[in-house]
Amino acid sequence: MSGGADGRLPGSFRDPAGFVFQRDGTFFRQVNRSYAATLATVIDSGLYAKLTEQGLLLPHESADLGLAPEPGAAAVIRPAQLKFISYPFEWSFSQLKASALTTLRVQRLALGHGLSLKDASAYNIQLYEGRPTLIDTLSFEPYEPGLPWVGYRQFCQHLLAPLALMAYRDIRLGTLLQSHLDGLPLDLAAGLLPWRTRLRPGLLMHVHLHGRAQSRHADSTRDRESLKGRMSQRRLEALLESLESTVRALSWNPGATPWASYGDQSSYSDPGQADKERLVAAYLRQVDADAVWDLGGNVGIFSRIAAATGASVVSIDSDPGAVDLNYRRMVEFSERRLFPIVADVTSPSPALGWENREVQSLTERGPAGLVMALALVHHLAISNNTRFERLAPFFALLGRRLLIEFVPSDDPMVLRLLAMRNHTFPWYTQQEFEAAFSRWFRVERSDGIADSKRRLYLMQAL
Amino acid sequence: MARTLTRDAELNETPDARTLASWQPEKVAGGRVLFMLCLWAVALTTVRLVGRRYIDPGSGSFAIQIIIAAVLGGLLTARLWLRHMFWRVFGRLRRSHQEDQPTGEEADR
Repeated sequence: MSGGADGRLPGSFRDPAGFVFQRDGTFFRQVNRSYAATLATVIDSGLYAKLTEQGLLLPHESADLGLAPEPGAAAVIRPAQLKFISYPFEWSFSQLKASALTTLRVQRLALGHGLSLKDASAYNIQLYEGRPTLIDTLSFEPYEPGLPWVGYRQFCQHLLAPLALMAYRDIRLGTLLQSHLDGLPLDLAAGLLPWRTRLRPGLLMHVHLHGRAQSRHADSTRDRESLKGRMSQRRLEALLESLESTVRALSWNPGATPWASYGDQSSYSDPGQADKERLVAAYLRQVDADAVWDLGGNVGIFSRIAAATGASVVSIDSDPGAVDLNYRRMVEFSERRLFPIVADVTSPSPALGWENREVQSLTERGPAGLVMALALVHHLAISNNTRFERLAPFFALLGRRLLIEFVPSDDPMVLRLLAMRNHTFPWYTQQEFEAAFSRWFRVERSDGIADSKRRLYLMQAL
Repeated sequence: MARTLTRDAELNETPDARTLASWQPEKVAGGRVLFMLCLWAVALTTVRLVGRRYIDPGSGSFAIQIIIAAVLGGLLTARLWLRHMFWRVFGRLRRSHQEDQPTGEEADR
């Protein structure tokens, strides 16, 4: 992620309390004078210590005030550096749910310290050390007794409504967040949800009635002052508990999607699979990359082999079921280097938001030290009808090195792909593959996989 | 409404918060059906009346939030009152029952 001329990140402009900027590859946050007292309260009240101790808030340390790129700075902080930024529309169901619970937990702890979250944007949550963590230290404001929670709308739109749609309608509806950066309009979500969700008290209240209140009664206004005294802390705590129990009750079974069980239907014999894993591990040790992107990572078998070398691994797959299984395993085994995301290599996440610069495209978040494309090239070439001449520069854009598997045209999986197509792919040969990729990469190593006609290549971008 | 909230021992809990933690709306006075009827009643009346004073989705969110919190708070109060009455009546009955039982010494005689 790169900033503007002064290093300020293009997407960090809404909050008057401060903004994120970059210096020499390190991210900092400028804290403006208007927020200095609140930040002091966050720290002095013990909230910061409690949240960071529980892994709920990204820790930071003080930095030189002279680094501040704009006037009006009261402090500059250096947050712990994130390995990879992902966005809510790329998260699996379980990651979105965990992010919702993190937000509520932070808010409840904040209330106990006389503070409150001033927003509940899902974009403020990122994976850090393997768990969803609030990254915006400036998200707090002093709690004003009697005032409703200002983050309630965002929480329902960014987190609860998408989760409900994924759980009750279709898991793929999580991608609706891509076209609604400030969360799903609740009247839209309510309209898409099955009628039976009205029998769920939490969803009835926080999605259906909430959406109705938003859309049907919009002919006058009230200011913040007039809301004071309308909601006791006890009622606010009841609201938060209701939100939490509603989120916890949402569930989804990933077994229903096609690729989630793909790993169980391996194209390899046992010796072949073992040899492929051995070769991939050897290639990874040879490269020793800090950041690896595993394209078509499925449930993350090879992502974990990469993570075992100490690399941060973004495990990318278009199937939400496979990614959810990947995420669940990551949580189960407390893996800290994995970033499972839902993304389609044939149509990577685009740049979005104001000036198309608030949310980075997937390719802008690279290049990775190493890109792995295992058992993927035949899907891109045949299913997506993309020639090798187009695949090679795309991979060169994503990473400095490439670990790629070539699957020959007589492979059973390729034959299955070709069976339903009425035109042939005469260019789909190993010779064409090597010729096309040699224009963008230098082949460092190549090995055939035992008990198979498939072949692995380790390449370096020219 | 499932109540699966795990309490955090580290959370600065007020007595109210602890009470809330054990609150199960579906078990209040007739259970889930009554709770849903209350919500639907709110849906059909109060939302429309209060909501008219708001202009954007944010304002509508404040309105419904206040109403929902009031309903939840009201149900909590009702539960606490019912629990209080329960123990007041049955506690008195139990005490009078214990007073009617002979003590060990009396039984020996």
